Amino acid sequence: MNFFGPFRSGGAIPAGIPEQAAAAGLIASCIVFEIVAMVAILLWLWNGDPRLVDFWFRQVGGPLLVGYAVIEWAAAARVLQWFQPGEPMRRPWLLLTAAGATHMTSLLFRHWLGQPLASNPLLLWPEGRDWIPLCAEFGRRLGGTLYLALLAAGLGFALRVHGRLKLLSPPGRKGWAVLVTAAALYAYTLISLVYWLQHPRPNRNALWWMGWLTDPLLAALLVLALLLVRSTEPLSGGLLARPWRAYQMALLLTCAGSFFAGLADSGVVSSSWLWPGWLAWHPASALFALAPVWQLEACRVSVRAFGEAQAR
Amino acid sequence: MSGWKQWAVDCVAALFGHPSDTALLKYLVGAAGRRARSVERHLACCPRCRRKLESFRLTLAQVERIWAEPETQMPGTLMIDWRQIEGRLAAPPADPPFELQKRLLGNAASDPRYADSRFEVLRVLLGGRALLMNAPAHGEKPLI
Repeated sequence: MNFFGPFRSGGAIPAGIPEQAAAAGLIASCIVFEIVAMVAILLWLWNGDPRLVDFWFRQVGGPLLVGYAVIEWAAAARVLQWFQPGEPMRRPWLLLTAAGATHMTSLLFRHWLGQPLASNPLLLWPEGRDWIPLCAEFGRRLGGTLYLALLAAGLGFALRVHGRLKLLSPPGRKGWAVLVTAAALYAYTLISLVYWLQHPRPNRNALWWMGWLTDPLLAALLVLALLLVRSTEPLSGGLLARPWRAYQMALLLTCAGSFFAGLADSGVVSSSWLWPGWLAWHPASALFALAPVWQLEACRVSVRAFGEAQAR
Repeated sequence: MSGWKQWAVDCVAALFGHPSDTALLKYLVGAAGRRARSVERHLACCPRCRRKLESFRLTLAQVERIWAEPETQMPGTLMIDWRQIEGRLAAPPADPPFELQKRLLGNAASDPRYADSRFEVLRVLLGGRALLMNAPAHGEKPLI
């Protein structure tokens, strides 16, 4: 695979993946996964046997997440080819493509190389098993920091373009309420950081600092998601609104999943009550992949319509 | 279609239970005259004709918008050349640029606040490369 190929511009636009088929496949696979996951969780809650849940989320769910991330990156890279250097939307899609590549890498490490799966090549190597926890941690940190930062930067630049096109109206009463809540959460995170800095801990290393970045980045992404809602309102019902709506829904699900993960880490709530959080990650990943696929579809619709008009 | 032929068609349609397309169109624009009451009675109990009327309503709204002629702007008072209207209804999509704009831009396509910036929104969000192929030639109207 030519990794840098999709980043080049100016060449012929390749015959694209069938966007509608890709979108239908993403949605169908996600629905099937969620239904079976729900059944497995209900069985676990009923008889207390976690084997089916473990098998489904680890052996099937992990590779499925990697597959979604591959589609996300490939589709975003193809979208990038529709924008020439200097065009306003090139920078956002460049950052979103880089975010897709980072997401793919992080999930590869976290859910494939970092798991004792039958398909993990590290298991073929006698000392490879020792690398598995390291791979999982690397994937977790990459997905929790660099991916979120690139995503926030890409969506931030896209929002700026929407603002310049006068599509972004000022928030209403509800919008302000949610923005103030997000700001309060952000302030709480800063205050808690200052509190922890005053109490020396032995394990405050680079990984701890990187892990701390995740919450502020998620708060920033939550604010971006709310602003995206407003910027796509004038375009609602059209094909150009769908990619940004998908990003917005994916961000909300990611924030919800992270909230449940935070609850799990804190130990406040019993793990048997945290299963709704497990169901958030696959729809979020599928929506992250659907966003560039839908943008590609919009581009191709315009070109196809032009071809039909020429033929008439 | 001349008056007596139309009347005959309407009679046959009435025998089979459903009003003709022309009768529905006349009812829609308020030009059905004495037949309006019978069409109304029929519509009250026939979902098929109600659906057909709704599709006519949408198509007629489109026709009115695209061909902004004085006589088609005010339903109820319009003078209709039925052959002309039927010809328009049978014609291919009336305004491909608008339909495509609507498909891509959604509500903004018909919102007057964005009237001046529609092409700019498409050019920026869709990419110049997609719209390059859409450049108008010899002063023609661009597709979007």
